[in-house]
Amino acid sequence: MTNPLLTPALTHWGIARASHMRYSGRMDTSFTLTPRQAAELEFTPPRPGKRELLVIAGPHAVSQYMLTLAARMAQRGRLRVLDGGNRFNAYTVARELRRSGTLDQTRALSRIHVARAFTCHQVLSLLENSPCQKAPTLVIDLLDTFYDESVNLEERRRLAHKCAGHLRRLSRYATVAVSVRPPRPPRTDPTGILEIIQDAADQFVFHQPQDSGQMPLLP
Amino acid sequence: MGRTLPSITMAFLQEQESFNRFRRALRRSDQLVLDDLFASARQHLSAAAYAAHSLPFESFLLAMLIEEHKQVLQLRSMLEDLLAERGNKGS
Amino acid sequence: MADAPAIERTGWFLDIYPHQHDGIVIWFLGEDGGRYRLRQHFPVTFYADGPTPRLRLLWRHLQNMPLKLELSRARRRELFHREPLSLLSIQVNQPAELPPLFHSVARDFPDLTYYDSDIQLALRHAAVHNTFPLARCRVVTDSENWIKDIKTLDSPWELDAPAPPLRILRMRPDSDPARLQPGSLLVNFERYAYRLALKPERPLLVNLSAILTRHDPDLILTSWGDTWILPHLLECSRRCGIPLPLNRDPGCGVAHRPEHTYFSYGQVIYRGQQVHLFGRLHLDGRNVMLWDDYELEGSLEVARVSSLPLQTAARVSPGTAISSMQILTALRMGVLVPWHKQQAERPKTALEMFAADQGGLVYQPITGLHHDVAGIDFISMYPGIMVHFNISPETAGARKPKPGKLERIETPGMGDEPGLVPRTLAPLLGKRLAFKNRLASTPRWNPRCKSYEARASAQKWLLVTCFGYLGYKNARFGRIEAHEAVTAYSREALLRAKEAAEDLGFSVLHMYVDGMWVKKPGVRTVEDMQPLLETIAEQTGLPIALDGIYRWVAFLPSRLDARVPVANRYFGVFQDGSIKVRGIEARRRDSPPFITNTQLKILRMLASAERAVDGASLERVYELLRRKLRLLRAGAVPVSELLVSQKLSRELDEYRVPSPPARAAAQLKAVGKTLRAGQKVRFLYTRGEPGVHAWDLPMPPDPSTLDFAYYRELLLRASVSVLEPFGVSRTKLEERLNGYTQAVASSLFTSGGAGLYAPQTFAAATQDSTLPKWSQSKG
Repeated sequence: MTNPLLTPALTHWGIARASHMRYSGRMDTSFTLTPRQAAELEFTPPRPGKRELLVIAGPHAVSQYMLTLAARMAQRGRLRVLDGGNRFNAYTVARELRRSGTLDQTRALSRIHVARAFTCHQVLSLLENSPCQKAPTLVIDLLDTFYDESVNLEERRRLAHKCAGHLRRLSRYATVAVSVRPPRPPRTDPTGILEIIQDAADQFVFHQPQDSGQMPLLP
Repeated sequence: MGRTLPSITMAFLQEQESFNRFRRALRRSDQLVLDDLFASARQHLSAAAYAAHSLPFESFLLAMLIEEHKQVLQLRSMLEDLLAERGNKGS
Repeated sequence: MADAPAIERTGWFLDIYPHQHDGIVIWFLGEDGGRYRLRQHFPVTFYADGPTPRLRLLWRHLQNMPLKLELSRARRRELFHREPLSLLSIQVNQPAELPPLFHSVARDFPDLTYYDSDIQLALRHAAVHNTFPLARCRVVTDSENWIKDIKTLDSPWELDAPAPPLRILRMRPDSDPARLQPGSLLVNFERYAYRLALKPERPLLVNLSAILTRHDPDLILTSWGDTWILPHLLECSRRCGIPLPLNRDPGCGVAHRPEHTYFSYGQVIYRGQQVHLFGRLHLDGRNVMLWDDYELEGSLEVARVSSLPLQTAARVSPGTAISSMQILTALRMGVLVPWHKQQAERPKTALEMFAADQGGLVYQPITGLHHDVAGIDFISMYPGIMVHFNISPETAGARKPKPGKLERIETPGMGDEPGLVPRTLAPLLGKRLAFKNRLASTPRWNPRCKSYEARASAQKWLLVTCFGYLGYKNARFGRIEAHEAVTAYSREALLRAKEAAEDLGFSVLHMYVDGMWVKKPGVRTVEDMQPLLETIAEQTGLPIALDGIYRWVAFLPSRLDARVPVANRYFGVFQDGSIKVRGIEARRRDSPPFITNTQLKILRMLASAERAVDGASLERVYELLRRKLRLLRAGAVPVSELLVSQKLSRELDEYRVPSPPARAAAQLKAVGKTLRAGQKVRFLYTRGEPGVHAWDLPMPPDPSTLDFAYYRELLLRASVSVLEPFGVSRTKLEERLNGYTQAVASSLFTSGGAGLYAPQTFAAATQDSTLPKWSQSKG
């Protein structure tokens, strides 16, 4: 690939010319989608106040997206976060708040109420003990603990059904956004647990990022 | 096992990384100075951790400043000693 | 059952297990030298909780079962709720019938909550009778060996319980089965030594059978017994039709447990398959925790304090042992033991996470060489905090811990009564402290020292885990808030200790979780340190001890960047000449012995210097290194000393890019030896591809293929680690070793100039050691 401006005539004037293009570094061209580009994706981001159950599946349980979403929601009001996969990085949320110009970090951060579950039984317990409220609920990585094979499959499926029931209950009062990561290899879900959650959702999005496409947040 | 929040070292490295574009656009000699500043901040990670700020960069900046000032104080005292010595020799 | 006279015996409790018809079987080692198989009626109970209609259904379901059960309603307390629950109580007459019954009930009624349903028999027995392995007891039995009464005369917390006269038989193959197919079995019993050829099989079995019958050991100690000897013998016995009296109990088969791999503290641990006996105890030295350092004593201590049967106690992880201790405490307290841990975290705000979710305090060290330094440690800090401040799953989390205040948390609804975890740990901690005192006052030549050390280590091993177990997801009584409360208190305690030190004129060089290094010119004797120790103990409420006063200590920076301090990476010499090393090659188990031994030798040479390491002692170090390098170059270093031993961090097929141990494991797999995640692979570094040669391959490696250049590199790196604080950089070392003056790369140093930026070499701290040392730039 040669530069068409470097004609043979020019080379006599001491201009160095690479014999062939060889740039080893990665070009740093990070960019964000414009709202219009985002709209082109078949995905409607959660509208504040809309009562629905949204389930997003993607690598790393789309945790970056969920944390950013949490930050945005915290700017508007209270929210409840259930962390099922040890992914709630509070620093990320704080950085996102700062980036979007929050004046009162402290206030915004205190609006987010986080509880963590480390086993699938605890996930159910958290959901069982969550009262219905107007504030939205985010569940990050709902199914991580459900992929733990030390609990037998029947039991995990039973718990998943119950969780789905509670998620639907909560979604009658406010937005509930749930993220899951698909099980590792193979692509399809042999346990059927993801399907249980999928069936309960009003909206289900499977996010497979090509490159740096970011998902739209709030309109 | 229970730790969800990244350690202060990880938070530090993330902050350092977020300045990679800034660093790239500096002259090479200035890049080294910047590296030194970041390295000096690592002397006080424990204080930054204990401070538990949601945006820890301010703690890191203070740490850099502490180390800078220590250098100034040391230089100042060395200078004073030198001048005193020179003064003694002169008289 | 006529009025047969009762028989009273005194002796030691050896083994306990459930039996199909005899309730439970207890093997008893009588004072009279007899080994008795006793039986005891011991019904066991579990509970179910749920909506009343469901419980009624369960009741009817159970009534229709052929088993003999006693059903009733009961009120029992759960740990986190003060109000007792109303439950269905299910009592099973024969303990052996409980696991299958529970299994089927849980399958048919999965929505109910179950308690006390999967508890080890030994723990249930201990809760009622206070028994534990090798406890001294008095039993009263009838003429048919049914126990009428049992009284334990001994306590697990006894410091000097006399050991029972165990009959111990040792067995090992004449070679490592992983390396070479063994030819004979070596058997020892007291002064008898036998060598039995493994083939032909019939005579082997007949002879071994005779040996077992004749000597009737209580304990069989083996090497590779779990993974090779016993499976092999059992297979031979089955094939030849000759029974082997491995068990004392003729009615029982031998219990097998499969191999498995698990994660613990970020480490992958592998446990080989297990073979448990009945009436006799089998321990495999290669598959037992704590064996390398403390052999039988360590395992005995774990069994003693946890009440788990010896064969189990020796093989379980410390987490399981601690969990068992907690279960035992719960049983004694009358608290229900949940089957699945339900308690999830109470929500906290994102803001609170920053302060709460931290670990222990780590104060970066001031790197370089220091004198007049003392090391002080909180003894068993985290357990101490749990006990002293009453931090337990049911106490923590009730209220947010107040930073800056170190006060005892009250158990809700129980006033001054300690919570479950402090109650469990207090006696163990007390025993550990008592042993530590003993060790401090026992001279090293006393033979009891080894035993004290073994037991103190077992206790420490358990205590260290109990913190992790406080928040561990599978712990029955874990709670993340308790975990966080402990770290909050520990950070507060360390900060107070720092303040106390600084108030008394010390400067704090380094702090790491539960230890600190303080410096003050003129610090020489224990008396110099006493005021500080007392102040800290008073300010924090926790016991603190002097680790030692150093002649000198060097804190090392990061290998990648010498400007960056690294915690817990240092070496130093105490006043008594002993060396303490952390975080460098000599402490790493995967380093080749050639490297670690040389590094230790260098350390010892440096250690003999009183204050300053002079040119003469450095010269001796150079001479040592020159000699070692000559040996290496000449191929005169025994290959076994160049062995690297690393763990496989995952299953072979899970590697995307195989690491050196993975490549070695692949070589072994190609010859039919499969290694699992968590197992160690031994190999040598070779030139070219694949760069490694596994050690246990049938073909020994060709010595000329060894990657001497890489071993040289490793040796030099390890040497520079310990020499750098004394002003010897890698360049300087190369210079000295090669014997020619190398023009010091001017790109590494800038002499003056460059304005404000004039780095110096990393050198021994001379005057003001509180200032950080600049180091060579990478410019």
